[in-house]
Amino acid sequence: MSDLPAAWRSYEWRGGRERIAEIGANGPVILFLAPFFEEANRTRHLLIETMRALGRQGYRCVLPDMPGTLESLTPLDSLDWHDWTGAAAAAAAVTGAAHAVSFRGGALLDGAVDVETRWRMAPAEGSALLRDLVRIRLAADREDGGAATAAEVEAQALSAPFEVAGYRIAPGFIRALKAATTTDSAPLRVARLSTDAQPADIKLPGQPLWRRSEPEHDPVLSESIAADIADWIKTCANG
Amino acid sequence: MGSGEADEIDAAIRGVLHDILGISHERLAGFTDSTPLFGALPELDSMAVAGLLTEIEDRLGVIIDDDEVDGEMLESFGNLVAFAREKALG
Repeated sequence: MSDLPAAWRSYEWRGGRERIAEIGANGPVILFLAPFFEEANRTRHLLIETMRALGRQGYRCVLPDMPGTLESLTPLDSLDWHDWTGAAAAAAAVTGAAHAVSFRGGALLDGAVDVETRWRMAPAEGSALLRDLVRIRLAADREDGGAATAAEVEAQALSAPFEVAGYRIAPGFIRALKAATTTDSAPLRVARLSTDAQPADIKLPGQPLWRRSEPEHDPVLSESIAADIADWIKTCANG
Repeated sequence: MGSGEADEIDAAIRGVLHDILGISHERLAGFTDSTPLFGALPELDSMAVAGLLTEIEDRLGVIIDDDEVDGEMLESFGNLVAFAREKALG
């Protein structure tokens, strides 16, 4: 199995530059939109290996850093939700993306990019992602002896910068995240894990790596995701 | 509730402990109702609790109110399964 190297590109956004990882030199461009915050770290290996598998099949896969995360020099707490939808659109435009592949919260951004097809893995609505963040903060607070309720933590997050799992997020961002929903723009295909009770176009066996307490990789899952994406893009091309 | 459904909940919780905390199937086979969890499993720290609860919600199609989560619910494997059964099967 060849190990395609990642090249580093960038996109311009609000006067600065943000990083793009690129795998596969030629072919139609697939824009990858990663899960948010800690889930992005836990799934990075899965995304990169999925990009490699698609790169070997003749696609050029690009994965932008969202402003305020990873190598970005922009402070996260200076950003609003529209900064992320705008960044996704800018990354899609500069790379000439024809297809969008999103994981978890990334699915909330694929409606903002101009592409021919959309494929989503375990998409999550913004309200569910906010509940996760509140839950993480509650767990940390309880460890420190705090006794706030979930409603109190959420109310604080909506009114002042929210510190959770090493991130500091502006209240405007949190308000928009809470209201953010996935769009129904066709052609669209939704994949979920076979253990997930929610409906999907296909269920794939694998582990919810975005929730693993220790980062893990699941090579079988990345191969089956890549195979389904390639099939889907071909199906759409054949109309 | 049928015992078949109740067994499914037990199996679903074992699946969550394997997938989220990385506990091996061999170790899980030895888990009984009295096996202690929070405070006894090094993998189950407070951050891992958040992922564990959310994964249980996704697998069983239930919503867990965070204010219901207390030490007792996570004290033992049996307590966690009983909580999940109550949520999923009523």
